[in-house]
Amino acid sequence: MNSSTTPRSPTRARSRALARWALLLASCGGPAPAEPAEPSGTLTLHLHGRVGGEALRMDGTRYPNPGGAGSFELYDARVHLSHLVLSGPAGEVVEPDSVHLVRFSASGQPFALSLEHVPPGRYDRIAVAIGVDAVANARIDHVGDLDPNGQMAWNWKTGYKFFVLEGEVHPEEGESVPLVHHVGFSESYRPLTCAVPGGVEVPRGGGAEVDLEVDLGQALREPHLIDLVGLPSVKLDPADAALIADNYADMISVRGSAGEGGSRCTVVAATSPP
Amino acid sequence: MSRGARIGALAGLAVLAACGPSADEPREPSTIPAHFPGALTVPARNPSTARGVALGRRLFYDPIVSGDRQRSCATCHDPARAFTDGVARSTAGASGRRLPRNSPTLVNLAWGSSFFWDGGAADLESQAFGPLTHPDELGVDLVELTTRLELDPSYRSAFREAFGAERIESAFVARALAQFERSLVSASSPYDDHVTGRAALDPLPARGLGLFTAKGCVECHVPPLFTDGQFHDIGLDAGFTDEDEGIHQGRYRVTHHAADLGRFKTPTLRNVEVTGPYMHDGRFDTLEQVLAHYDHGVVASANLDPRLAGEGARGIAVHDDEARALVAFLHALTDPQVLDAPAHRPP
Repeated sequence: MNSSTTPRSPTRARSRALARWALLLASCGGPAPAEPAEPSGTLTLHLHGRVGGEALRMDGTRYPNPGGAGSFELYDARVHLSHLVLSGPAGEVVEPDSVHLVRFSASGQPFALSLEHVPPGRYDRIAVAIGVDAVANARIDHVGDLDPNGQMAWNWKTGYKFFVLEGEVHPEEGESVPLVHHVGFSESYRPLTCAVPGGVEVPRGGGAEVDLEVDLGQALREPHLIDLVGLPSVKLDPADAALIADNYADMISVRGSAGEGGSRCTVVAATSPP
Repeated sequence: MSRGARIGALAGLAVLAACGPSADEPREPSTIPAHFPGALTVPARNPSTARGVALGRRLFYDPIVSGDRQRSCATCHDPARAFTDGVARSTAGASGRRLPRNSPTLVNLAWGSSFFWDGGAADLESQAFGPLTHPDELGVDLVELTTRLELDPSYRSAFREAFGAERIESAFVARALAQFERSLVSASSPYDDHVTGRAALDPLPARGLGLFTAKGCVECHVPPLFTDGQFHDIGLDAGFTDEDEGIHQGRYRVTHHAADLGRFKTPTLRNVEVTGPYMHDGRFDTLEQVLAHYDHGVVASANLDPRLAGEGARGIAVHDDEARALVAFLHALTDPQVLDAPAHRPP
């Protein structure tokens, strides 16, 4: 995972180039020049797992089967987010090599994702993609959050799972069956854009926070209502994966700050990985 | 080496040169035989170096790469058998469960464009994670593996020298294994002596070579690699169950295209004398049985290769005397140098 960010402006580009030279020289063992002083801040995104209107719980809590009778519970939920970009009056900040493996915790604690070296100022939009782009997905010998040790790489076909839900489906009658939704394939990549209600001010040398809600239940709800008794497993079939991907494209929203309503992230281009 | 790979290798060399004395130069997997294709499938991110190949060789034979430290890549890929195992479907993996497919030959992979019997792996670097992590194969947890390697100072220095890595990442394990596998070049069989003019084939294999061409075997088993790298249904089965997550469905499992149902990758015939049993599931013990399949065993199926679906009689007619000549020719693809090469054996 790379948590530094890349601002886009002539001055900032110069700083970025200097910083990269510093890194290159440091890797050769010589003394590294002092990094250019550019007062910056940190923006932390808190991702809150939800199922419908409730906080995500992975403690045996059962949720209604969205498309049929019975219920389901979750043991594990993970998603790859990539290509984070902040934008607003302060400019545009592109996180380089931007890939994050978000693991939702059983305890309900939000997943924190920090963007460092953010130029101070006001930002009112976040772009983020669910999944990894086609170039990254064409091989799996990556490091960082794409290291196959994260158990998000397929072992039967080169590529990554973008979205994982694991748990158990409890039909109204009969035995429970494993819930295994492993959604991958480059066609499942979904770039989103999110308005930040009221914007967020990143202070010079300080930190700011934005809360995002990830409604895992939405991945089973709209536009394709999923009956988990009929579809407890999504793995190899691209048609099944497309159903869930269409749904999860609408699962992230930005919480409003005081006095502001929330804002749902929307798809930029449904199935056009870069 | 492809132009891109050459550029990548040169770029890597330039960076290393900027840092002063460093690792060995990127190099091609081995000297490319003159009668082989010039274009290799080496990713620019992983040019082969002597140190990378040596590290990959060490890892290939080291049981440290298995969950229980009891088996290595060589358990199913024995150099004396052109890196196959001599059984139809191995039970030597971590779980002891019988694998669904036959262990493939590992030679001339530097020219391969996809890996696994269904082509599911895009390159050798990505392929390596399959057998490493599968519970029925080496069954190792990658965090555990890199931790073990970090605890061994000789591995730490070997990874640093091969990849400039201060920390051992699973990606470097895969890249080292890929470099070793690409170094396994088989190009010194009697057939190679024949085509390069060093020595003529004996009469019987020479007749077999003629039959191999005349009967169309050559269309899928294209010299000099003796594979086209493509996927074909050769009439082994009339249907293909979707059990076991589609692993019996061939290329369809990867593409989900109806036309790929039952198509499996053409295996190389190099060293085929020592790589039995044959077919993706090892159903035939001998080459004679394979030829008998083509003669009278081909069954109709939706995607049967049209070259085997002739009107009247399916398959390829092979009389007994022709079979003897063809087998003699196939034996002429055995390469003692690749089977016995010290550089391919355990370090």
